[in-house]
Amino acid sequence: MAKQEFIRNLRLARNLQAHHVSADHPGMDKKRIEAMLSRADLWLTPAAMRGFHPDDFPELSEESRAALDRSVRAFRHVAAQVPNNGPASTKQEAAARQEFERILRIMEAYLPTTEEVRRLRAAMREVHFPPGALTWEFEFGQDSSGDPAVWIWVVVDDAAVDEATFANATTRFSREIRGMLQKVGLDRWPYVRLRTASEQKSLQAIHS
Amino acid sequence: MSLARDLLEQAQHLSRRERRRPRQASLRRAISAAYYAIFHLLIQEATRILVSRPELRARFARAFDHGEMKQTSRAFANAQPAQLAALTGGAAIPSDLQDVAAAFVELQEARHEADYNIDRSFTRSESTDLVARVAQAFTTWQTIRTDPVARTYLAAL
Repeated sequence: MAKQEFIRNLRLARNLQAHHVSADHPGMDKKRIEAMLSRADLWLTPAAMRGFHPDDFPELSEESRAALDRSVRAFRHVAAQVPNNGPASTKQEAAARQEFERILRIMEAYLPTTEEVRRLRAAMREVHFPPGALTWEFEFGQDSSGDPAVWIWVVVDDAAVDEATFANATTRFSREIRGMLQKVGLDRWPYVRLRTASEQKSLQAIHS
Repeated sequence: MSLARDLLEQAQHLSRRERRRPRQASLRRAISAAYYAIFHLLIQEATRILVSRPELRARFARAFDHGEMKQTSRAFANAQPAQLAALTGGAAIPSDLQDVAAAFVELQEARHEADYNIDRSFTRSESTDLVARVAQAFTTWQTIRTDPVARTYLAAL
């Protein structure tokens, strides 16, 4: 899915921009390595915006979608001018950074922090799933009201899906998930959805 | 039969069509119909308690706003929402009412995805589960509709 590809690339670029070097030897100068990585501008590449298409974000307001589109175009324009065998000029770096920061602000809800992911996992560990629930996956984003949200896909065994009884279970564990997210302080509405293992496999095949 | 019930029945029919290879159109329309089923159920109930003259109820129903209903439902989907303390007198929200309110929030978002996000693929189990959650909300609603907190929910929509 192009949307997920774009979010992955953007997350990677964001992580490359914010360097937190950890070293296991006291002789290593972490600050110096961080400065070197920063000068390399690893995030300033057209690949950071690969997969972007404004139509993939119908949940954003028209204004936000237009602003995102403008900034992505401007970023791509600058990134395309950076030489492959040398660093970006100060002017290029400043122009790209300004657009990149705008993009990150608009996309904030889609890019969870490590802490948010940790809290989600901690909350989900406490949820009592019914027999037949095999695993769960998640996707952070912004919902159609503009609020930060998380989509949780519960993957169930094909044989376990019985419309009437499973809806009861979904309602119950959705309530439990809402309660647990509140408890761990994750301020996102959880949209809980169901998929069978075979459906999940088919979707992965389509989008791979 | 009420419009809300008819829409639920239509959603159930659409979610079960094409046994082997369900069409995206059927699954998407099933979700959309399920959302409008719960939307009309709540509006019908709210206008019934808020407007004594039946001939004025349809006109009053037009005043409901999807976005505001979602925000209110989000608050009522919590056990002890701080922002509703003044409305409920600090009473806890019964879990059955939380489930109905949460079903409304879930379905409104799913309808938005089903109607506008062509990049998404819906599956049979996702669609039937969402429709079944609305069916369950209809049943649950009958058990709590006279609860004072449920009536406060309707008035707050």
